Amino acid sequence: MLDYMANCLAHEEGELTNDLVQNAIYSFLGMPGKYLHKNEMTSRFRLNVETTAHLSPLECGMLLRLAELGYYHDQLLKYATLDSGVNALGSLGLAFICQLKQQLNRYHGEVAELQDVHIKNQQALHQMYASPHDCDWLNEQHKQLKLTTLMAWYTQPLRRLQLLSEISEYCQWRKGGALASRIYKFLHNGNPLLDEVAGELLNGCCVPLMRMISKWMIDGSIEDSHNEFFIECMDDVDNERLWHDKFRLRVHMLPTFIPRQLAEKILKTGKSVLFMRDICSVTSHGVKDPEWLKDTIDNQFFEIFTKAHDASWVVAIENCYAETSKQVLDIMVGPHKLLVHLQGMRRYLLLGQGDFVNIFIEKIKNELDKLGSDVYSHDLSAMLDAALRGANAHRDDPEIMDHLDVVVRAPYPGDFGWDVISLRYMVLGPVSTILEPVMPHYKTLFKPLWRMKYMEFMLCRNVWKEQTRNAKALFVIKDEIADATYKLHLFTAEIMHFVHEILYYVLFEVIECNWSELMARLEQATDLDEILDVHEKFLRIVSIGSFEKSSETTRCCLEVVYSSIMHLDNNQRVFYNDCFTEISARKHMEHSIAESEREGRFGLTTEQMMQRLNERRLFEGKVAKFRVALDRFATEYHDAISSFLLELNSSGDTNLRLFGTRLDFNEFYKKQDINLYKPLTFELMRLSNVMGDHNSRITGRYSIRPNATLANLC
Amino acid sequence: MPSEIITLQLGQCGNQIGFEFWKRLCMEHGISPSGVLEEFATEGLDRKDVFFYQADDDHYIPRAVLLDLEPRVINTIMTSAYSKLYNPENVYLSKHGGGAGNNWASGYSQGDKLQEEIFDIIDREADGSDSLEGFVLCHSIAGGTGSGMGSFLMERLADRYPKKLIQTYSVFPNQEEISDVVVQPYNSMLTLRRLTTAADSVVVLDNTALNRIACDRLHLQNPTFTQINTLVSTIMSVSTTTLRYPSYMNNNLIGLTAPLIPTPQLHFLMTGYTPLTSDANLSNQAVNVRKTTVLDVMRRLLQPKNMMVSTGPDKTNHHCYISILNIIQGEVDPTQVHKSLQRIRERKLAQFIPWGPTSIQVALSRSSPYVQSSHRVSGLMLANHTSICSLFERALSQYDKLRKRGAFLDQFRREDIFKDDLSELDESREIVDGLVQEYEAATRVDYLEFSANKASKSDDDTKSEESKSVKSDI
Repeated sequence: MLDYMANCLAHEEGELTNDLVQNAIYSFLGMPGKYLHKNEMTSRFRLNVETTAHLSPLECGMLLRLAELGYYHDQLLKYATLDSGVNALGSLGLAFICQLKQQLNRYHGEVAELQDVHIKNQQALHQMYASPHDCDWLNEQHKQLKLTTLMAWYTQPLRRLQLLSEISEYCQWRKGGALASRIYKFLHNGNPLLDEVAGELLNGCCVPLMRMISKWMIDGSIEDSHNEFFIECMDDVDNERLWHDKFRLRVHMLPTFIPRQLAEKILKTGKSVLFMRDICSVTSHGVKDPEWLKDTIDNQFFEIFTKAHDASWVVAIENCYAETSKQVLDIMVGPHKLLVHLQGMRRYLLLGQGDFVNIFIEKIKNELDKLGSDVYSHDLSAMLDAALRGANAHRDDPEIMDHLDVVVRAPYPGDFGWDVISLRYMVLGPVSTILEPVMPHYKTLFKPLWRMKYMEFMLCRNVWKEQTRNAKALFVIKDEIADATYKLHLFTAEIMHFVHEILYYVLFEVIECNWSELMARLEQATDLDEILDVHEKFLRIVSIGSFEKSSETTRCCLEVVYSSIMHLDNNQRVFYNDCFTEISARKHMEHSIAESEREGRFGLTTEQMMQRLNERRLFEGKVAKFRVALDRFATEYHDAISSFLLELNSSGDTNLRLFGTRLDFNEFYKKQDINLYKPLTFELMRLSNVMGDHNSRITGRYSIRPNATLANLC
Repeated sequence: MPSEIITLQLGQCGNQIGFEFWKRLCMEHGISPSGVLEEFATEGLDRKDVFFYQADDDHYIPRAVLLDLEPRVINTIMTSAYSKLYNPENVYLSKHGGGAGNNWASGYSQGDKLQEEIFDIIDREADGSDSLEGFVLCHSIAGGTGSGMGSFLMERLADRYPKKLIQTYSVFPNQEEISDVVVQPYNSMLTLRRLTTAADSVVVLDNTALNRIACDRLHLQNPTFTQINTLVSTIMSVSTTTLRYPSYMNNNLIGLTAPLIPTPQLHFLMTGYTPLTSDANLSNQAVNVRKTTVLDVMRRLLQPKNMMVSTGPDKTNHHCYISILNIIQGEVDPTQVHKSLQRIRERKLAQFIPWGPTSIQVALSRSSPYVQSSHRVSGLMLANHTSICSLFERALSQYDKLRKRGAFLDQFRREDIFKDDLSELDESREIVDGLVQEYEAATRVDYLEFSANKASKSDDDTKSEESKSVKSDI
């Protein structure tokens, strides 16, 4: 009886355990049972107070702890369901969900196995109770699943589910590269389980990304309906700007395990492929072994998570990049003559071809003075052609000639030919796509350079030449007009000095020196963007060096110089006309005296005499007036030059300071203007800077004694 | 429209240096002595059309006019390998072939007589060019033809082509050897007057200095004319190199000369060249090849011993540079240039005028790929220096010695220009003296006032003249 009682008790106890275990297994899958209720809102399980009243606190505790697994299972299920509102998005998100589902499936499998064991045990138990004497039940007892067994089992899946849901929570609403980056963060943290879990997720998740990369690099196409790829294509930008503007990195979609540099390379590779195919219409080029590359990119990307630099994936991409960019470079430099065009622009827009510029100015000088509305571009084109033929230019690559063009913009009222005419270098096709963003630079550079050159031309051809010519012609009265002419000559020489120095500085020291540096760099360049970068830097230096973007003072000074030249040209013409009138009047008088003498008449009447004297006095007055006008111009000019020199001398740029000393090589201005001493207070230091390294000390120049006064000097 | 330049070669000396000059140009441009472009030179980026034009069969013809009153030198040229180079119509020999007898007046009046024929040639050449930039005259100032006929031509050219530049390469006589031409001081004085009034820029080639350089620097015992003329042709060719190999600046004659000449009178330029080697040196003396950087070249160019003008010691040390242009050829790192200039300024290697801003201009020029030089860098200096007036002072003193005694004037009186009186000589002296004073004034700060002083003086003169004339009228 006791035995039976014990048996019954044991049976009952076994039933209870079975119930509990079954409940626990249900809760593993998020299902409520007899002992456990589920809050549908929070997915938390709690004990059913009525049924669990007779359970020991230990059992209750274990049940609750086991039910935790159900909570995480539910969480995960939520993250792994599309449109649940918390799931990851996009195609990478989809891949992520798939991964989660796989994980869940595995978990379900494990739970199912457990259930299997449990059911078998239950059957065995029932059998035993049905025929209790068949075997020794005591021996069988340990086969029964108990809550404690489950407790032992549940830790591992729990940890896993916890990690998974932690990752999923962190990744919710994310897509594309951002999603991958977030998962990547869980990698390498020292927890082998987390490493494994995150690694599996990441591997699965990145598959679509890798497909996108390989498709982009091989084919240049982007299939990205969710805007999750780290390369973005602006559809509204036309192909003309394919190289510079059409594609860009979507930085927030860039996975952290792909370095920025590498991403740039991926971007450029695809761009190059597209560029070659769409713009250059070259189809024979492209990636050499696309199958292999695709295979590598799609299937071997795991390595980059562990060894970022020498992974075969990275190597493959780098190689592919080097290969395609070399191809683009070859195409541009070869058939499309990029360097030739750069040379061409330098020769014609930056005035490197001096003889051409001279001839062209000579040809169009009349047009420049016309009203803007009277300038016709077809006249100018003919002149340009003539100038090109006349200059040594005709030996150039004929390609360059074809690209050079004169443009006349629509004149505004009051514009002169000078304002509307400019040279343009037309680049077409691939080269224009490449050079598109820098062309405005050339446009803005051309005008000031052109103006400088034109002023030199005016000064030499008109002002100086006229003076030399008239000096010969007016030799007879040279002493009378010497007061004015000497001032005129010296003033002209002064301006000539300035114009030549500044032209030399801009054309030679800035453009020529930097150009030779540019050429050296271009020869070493391995990809197109390098060339473009160097070239842009060149243009930037030139635009600073050519005073195109300089201060008000500089511009004012240049304006004063230019206007002085124009004044000189106009005023000296009037002056020389007066001189010639005077000479011819004198000759006329001498002639009439001689005539009357021959005829035996009385010489001159007093009236004639007086008139002549009057005229002569008038002429003297004109000469004096001219001299006064010259003095006025000269004063204005000196003021402008002084402030310009002051600015140059106190400039932070060594080259500009050197230019300042060149402008005043014999210290003519310095002796005249005490102000110019100021910035040269630490002259010795400055000079030592010229030869040695100057970067370190320039800044100190002002800080030591910013208010060094003249008193210290004198 | 290549800014053509027509070269006029006058007299024995002019034709000789001209001949060397053309030889040199042909070599630099890869043109064979018969005017045909050599095969290796067809790709050249040089400008040949400044000095040459192409005939119908494409061979190159120099824009040169060869004039002489005696046949010796021209015959040598016409029997040399280069005889086919020149346009035979441009070679003018006076029919009598008697020369000018080293007499300026004879050359001048023969120029007057022959002017129609000569200007036929010059006008034809001028018409044949699109935009003539100017004339280059090669002559000596001491002889008869170059000086006399040259003077006449300069005056006529200035009248006839007032808008064209007239540049001369004028050879000044050697002061250190006694000339067999006794009237040389007269000739020089009369030519100097024309160089002052009619020429736009004069490149002075001083035989004294050329001989000294040949002896001291090239170690030649008795330099021959050819060797001296090679020096001259080097200077002539290098000074035109920026015109023939155009780059960013100084691509025409005006652009080259205008910055050098501040006032029209101060247009006498000196030259200097470094490194100096002769053919003989080149072949057997490798020792003479020195290290050359831009700074070395520029520094050497400022040394008087490399100057092609012998100005004598400047005792008061007041002479100064009015302007300098350095033409540098060879492998030059462009960034070295401004460093070198800075050094020169720091060391105050050159003294400049006090009355205006000036500096050393630098033109980096490409050089001919067909002429090999053993030097990495070479440089030519064109300088306007006030000490050049010592040359004129010397000429004045020699003239005065002769004039005071009234020696050797008979042969001058025979010619038209001196028929009435010798005022021509006195006027010339006055003008040259004025030139010397002007150069002296240019060394002072108050150069601008020089004109004022002169003007006030002349005012007095004119006033007195006026009063005279008024009196005479009454």
